[in-house]
Amino acid sequence: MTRPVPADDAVGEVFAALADPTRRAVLRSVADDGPCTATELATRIPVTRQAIAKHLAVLQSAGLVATARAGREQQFSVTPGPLLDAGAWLTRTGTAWDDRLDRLQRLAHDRSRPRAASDGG
Amino acid sequence: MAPEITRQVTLDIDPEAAWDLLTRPEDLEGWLGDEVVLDPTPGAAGSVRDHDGTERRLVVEEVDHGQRLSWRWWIEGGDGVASRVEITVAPSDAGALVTVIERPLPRSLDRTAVARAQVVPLAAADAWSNRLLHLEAMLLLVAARG
Repeated sequence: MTRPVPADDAVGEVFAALADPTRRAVLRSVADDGPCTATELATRIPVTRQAIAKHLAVLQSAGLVATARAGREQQFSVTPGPLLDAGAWLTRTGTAWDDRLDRLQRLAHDRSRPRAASDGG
Repeated sequence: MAPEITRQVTLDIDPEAAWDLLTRPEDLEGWLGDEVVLDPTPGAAGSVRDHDGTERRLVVEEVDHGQRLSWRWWIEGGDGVASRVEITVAPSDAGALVTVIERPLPRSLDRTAVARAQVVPLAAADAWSNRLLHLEAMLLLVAARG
């Protein structure tokens, strides 16, 4: 049984897809050079067409590329939405920890002052 | 390698006092959230309510007393992404060095066999690679928009 997936639920999948350097090279090539087929990508990236196709399948599963029919092959193009979601997660999570750790540091500082005073006196 | 948020802060208290701030209920509500239920015991369920009302559910994963605490958490009824938080405490010249790492969990990768075969071990993360990954993601965005 499948269920609708909230947009942010895909963030972990996007990051996992981007964690592989070859896969990033594939995505970057699609982004730089526009819509292209797995065969075309195999001429630009030093891995087999079969490997390219597997990377594209993972990128497509993460929503990072979309396909359109081009003759007998499929043509891939970048869909930036999931990248925006992933970037937003990084920014939101980093900001939240900046705030929390700022409070933690102030709390610790408040605790350290009485101790320093008692140590000195 | 994997994307993650890494933050470090030095506290001017000793590591034992820092551990108390990170694990005692009355102290956790001074920095982690407005209402915090966090029992530093592996498997313990808890919750964190933020100032803005956002509520996260959590499950404590690992506790290495005085040194390391980790949990999984997710926003209750919210945007869906689950992540893992790991906090470590180490002595430093100034007192205690606290390091926080939060990384999203690729839950949805379990949905398909093709994806499962391609899962990258997230435990092998390092901060430098993550900075490169973040930069790469931003470059890809620029390229995709152009």
